[in-house]
Amino acid sequence: MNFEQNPKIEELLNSYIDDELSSDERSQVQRLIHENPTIAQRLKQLERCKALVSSLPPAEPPAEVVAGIKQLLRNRSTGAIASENAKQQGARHLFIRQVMAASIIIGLVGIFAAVVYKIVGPAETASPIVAVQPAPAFKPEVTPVETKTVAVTAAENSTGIGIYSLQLQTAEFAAVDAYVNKLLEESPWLRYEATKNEPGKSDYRILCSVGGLEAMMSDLAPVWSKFDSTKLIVRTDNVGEYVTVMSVRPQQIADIARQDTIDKRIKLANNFATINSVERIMPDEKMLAATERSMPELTTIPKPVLTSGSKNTVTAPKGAWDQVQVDLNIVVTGHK
Amino acid sequence: MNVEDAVLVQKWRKGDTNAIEKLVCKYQGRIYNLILRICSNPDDAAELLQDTIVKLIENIDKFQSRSSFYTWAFRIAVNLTLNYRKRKATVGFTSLDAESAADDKQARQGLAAILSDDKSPDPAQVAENKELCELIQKGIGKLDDEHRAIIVLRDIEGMDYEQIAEVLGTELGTVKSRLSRARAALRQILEAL
Repeated sequence: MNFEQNPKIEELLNSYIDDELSSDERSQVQRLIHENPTIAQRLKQLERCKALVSSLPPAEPPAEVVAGIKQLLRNRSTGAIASENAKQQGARHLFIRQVMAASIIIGLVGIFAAVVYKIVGPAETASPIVAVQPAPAFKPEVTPVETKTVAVTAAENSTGIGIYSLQLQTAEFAAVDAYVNKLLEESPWLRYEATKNEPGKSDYRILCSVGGLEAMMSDLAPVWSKFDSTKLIVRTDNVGEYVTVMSVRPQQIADIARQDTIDKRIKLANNFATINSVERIMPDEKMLAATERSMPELTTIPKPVLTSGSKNTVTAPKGAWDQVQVDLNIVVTGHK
Repeated sequence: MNVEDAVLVQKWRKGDTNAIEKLVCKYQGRIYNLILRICSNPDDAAELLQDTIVKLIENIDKFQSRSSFYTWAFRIAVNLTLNYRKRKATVGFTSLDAESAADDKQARQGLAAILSDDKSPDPAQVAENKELCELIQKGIGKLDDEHRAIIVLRDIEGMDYEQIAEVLGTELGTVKSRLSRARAALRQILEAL
């Protein structure tokens, strides 16, 4: 008989030798054993196999292991007592810890809020705002926006909105200054004071409307290429804090003046400052491409070439006679 | 459930350290023997015994008195041992002890005689024959883990089928069929030694 093909008989025999059968089942198995010598032989094999394994002497754990377990139990009981004491102490200090944790969290939230406000706040000028996304393969080093506290002149403090200081430096001081003088003389919508205390330097304080400023910037455009350095300083809400736009262009000055709130003016000035700093280290075509992609509303006007020192325009441009909103200080200096 | 064990467990839960020691001392030898027969390595068995005791202490609050402390403790020991063997098998270790067991010719002849003899072996004589014991242990070590565990629980620890089912977390029918296959496999292994 192949017992592998009769697993039920094998199971019965095993249960028989393990005394796990009911009396009826036991009687049936005994009858089978009596009638079938193959089954009887198999039963003896199973019994011998079981007896062999059961004969293995019990292994005792090594003495050091038993000692280790005893130590473990002692430590455990000591630890349990210590744990109870710790629980009582912990409960006592829990409230203090919670209060401290809450204080720290509140402090951190406050600091975080201050940092966020500093970054996105309206008058923030210190953080570099990158308005231009450069071409993917080109990553220029952007010069941070130059923001610094400058000496505030009497003129800059005199009027409410739109205070600017435009500093222009040129190698052709005489020609350019003559052009500016003539421009101002022929623009009756501009009120201005000219101060020329030292050679090679002219200081103009101009009070005008936004339209008047736009017209003046348009008129200055033809000589703009004659300036080696152009710098616009725009006052922020914070007293004594300014945004400086290096390499500023006439159109940018007009655009900034056109903004109806200080926040917008500062934001635009910051953007121009960033754009111009990028432009200084970036080829023109890349700059234009980047500018047009990211800020289509910002345009770069071409720089006309000065062809004449005279200007004959006397017709008032649109809005030139509107209410005075701009107080601009222009400083033209030549090279020393 | 064993009444004495139940009382000790109650005392243990109330923090009686003597109760813990009594229970541990009562079963640690049998647990060690069980683990050793399954893993075939004394060092591993010692470590697993300590792990088992730690688990018992840590989980005594979770022990529900529906089963006996005895089967609960053995279940923890078997699970730890089988899991350990699985991890060991995963990283490619095998029990050296099982492979290096005595290969004595006399012992093998003795084993063959016992297996073919009509009379059952004398347990005392077998226990005295160290080489024969090592050969039997070697045979057990060649079984797969499921068969090894059930043979040890039944034939060495002497548990009944119901207790084995509890320890292994299986049905009674599974215990019967698995034990039957395990014994058949062990006989084949021993005959082949």
